[in-house]
Amino acid sequence: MTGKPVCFNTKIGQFQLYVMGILLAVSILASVLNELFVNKLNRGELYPFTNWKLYTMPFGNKFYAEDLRFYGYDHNAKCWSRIPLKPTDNMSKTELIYAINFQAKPPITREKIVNMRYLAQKISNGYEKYKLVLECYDQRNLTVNTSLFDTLTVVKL
Amino acid sequence: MNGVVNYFYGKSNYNKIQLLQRTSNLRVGLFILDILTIIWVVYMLFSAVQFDNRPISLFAPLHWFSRIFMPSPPSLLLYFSIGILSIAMSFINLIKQRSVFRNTIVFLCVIWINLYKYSYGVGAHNNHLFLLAVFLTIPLPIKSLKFNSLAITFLQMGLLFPYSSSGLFKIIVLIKKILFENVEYTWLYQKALFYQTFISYRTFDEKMPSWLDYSLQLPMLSPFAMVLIMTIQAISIFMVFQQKRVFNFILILVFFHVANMILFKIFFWMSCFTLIALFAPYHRLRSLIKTYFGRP
Repeated sequence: MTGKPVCFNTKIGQFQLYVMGILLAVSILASVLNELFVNKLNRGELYPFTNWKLYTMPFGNKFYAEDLRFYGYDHNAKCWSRIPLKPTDNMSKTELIYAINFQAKPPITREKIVNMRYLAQKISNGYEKYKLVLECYDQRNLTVNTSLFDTLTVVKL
Repeated sequence: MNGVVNYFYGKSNYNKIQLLQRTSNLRVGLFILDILTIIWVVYMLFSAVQFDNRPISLFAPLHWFSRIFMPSPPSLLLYFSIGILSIAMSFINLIKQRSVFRNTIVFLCVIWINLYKYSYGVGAHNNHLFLLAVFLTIPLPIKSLKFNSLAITFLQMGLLFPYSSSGLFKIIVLIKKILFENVEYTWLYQKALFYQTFISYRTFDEKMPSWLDYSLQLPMLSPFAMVLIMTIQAISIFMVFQQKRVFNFILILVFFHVANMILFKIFFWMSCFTLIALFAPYHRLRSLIKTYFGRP
């Protein structure tokens, strides 16, 4: 083969080429703008397709990690017991984690408390009272013994 | 222009047959992307039936797009009619040929359908690679074999750009943390991968399988694996200029997604399917079928 390669013959599919170039430019530019302004505007992401800051640091990089869990008060045993996370009929585990984290963000309003009580009852019904607990731990300890974590009550439901 | 061509493709290496292969591969790829769109929309409609009984107060749109177009949960009737519209458009794309008009409608429908399930506090970038693929393939109707090769390169660059940017950002943050902030616990920390996996499993209240427990504590595993992954992610946009190797590279990315599913419980199924659909070398498949099932 000699001469100009076929691949850059811009007469073929010219319209496609230009629109494609524009879309590519838009997608790259929008993601850059998103990265620059997403924190300043505080209005959620501008452009949903690319996220740059995915897992730049490992979890627990200060030897500290936390989970939010519901605890239920058992009237017969007269103690609070931990309710492990399990999927409900209309929410998967991932969605539950995100929903709980979103609802527990301060300021905690009355509406949010109602929502959280709904979620807690969905996960495990049959307790008299519920509370939302922040479990924080050092992963070096928890890998040795799974009960070595601190608890802090965020809100009673 | 010729200088650029020669630099990336080699002098006259890139001949007419290769262009034809690439073009026909993309035609099959777009066909499969349309099928994928239909399957995905059907899945979303079925799951919408399942979670329709969630209380309205839980609905919390996070994204500006959803605040404008879906401020409150839509009724099932509306959701289904939009879904069926997009299915119909994709179906016409399949049996006739793709058109810019129909592709635009499918894109708008699909991005709207995606909002509902993830407006309950979940982040705004779910199924992002699939949506990006639907977005970038808007100007690609199939008319005979007339694709511009540069347009295909642009499409592939657009699809691999998210990987590149996230890889680059990981490297930048790593260098910044090590050199300027003197942080010891980065991705190069001995047990970073093991602890990350442990914390992910703990968040889901599951017990880590014992084979993971042993294998992730191998010495020097975390630094090597993470440097490898960062490099792979960062160079991914440049792999579009290596058309012979790009699918092998895509398989590595799919493997990376599968590893993410096993280790960190991040399920990016649609990313895997989209990547394979749009990059697969279907001409090899055709020749394979010919050799095994065709007449001698």
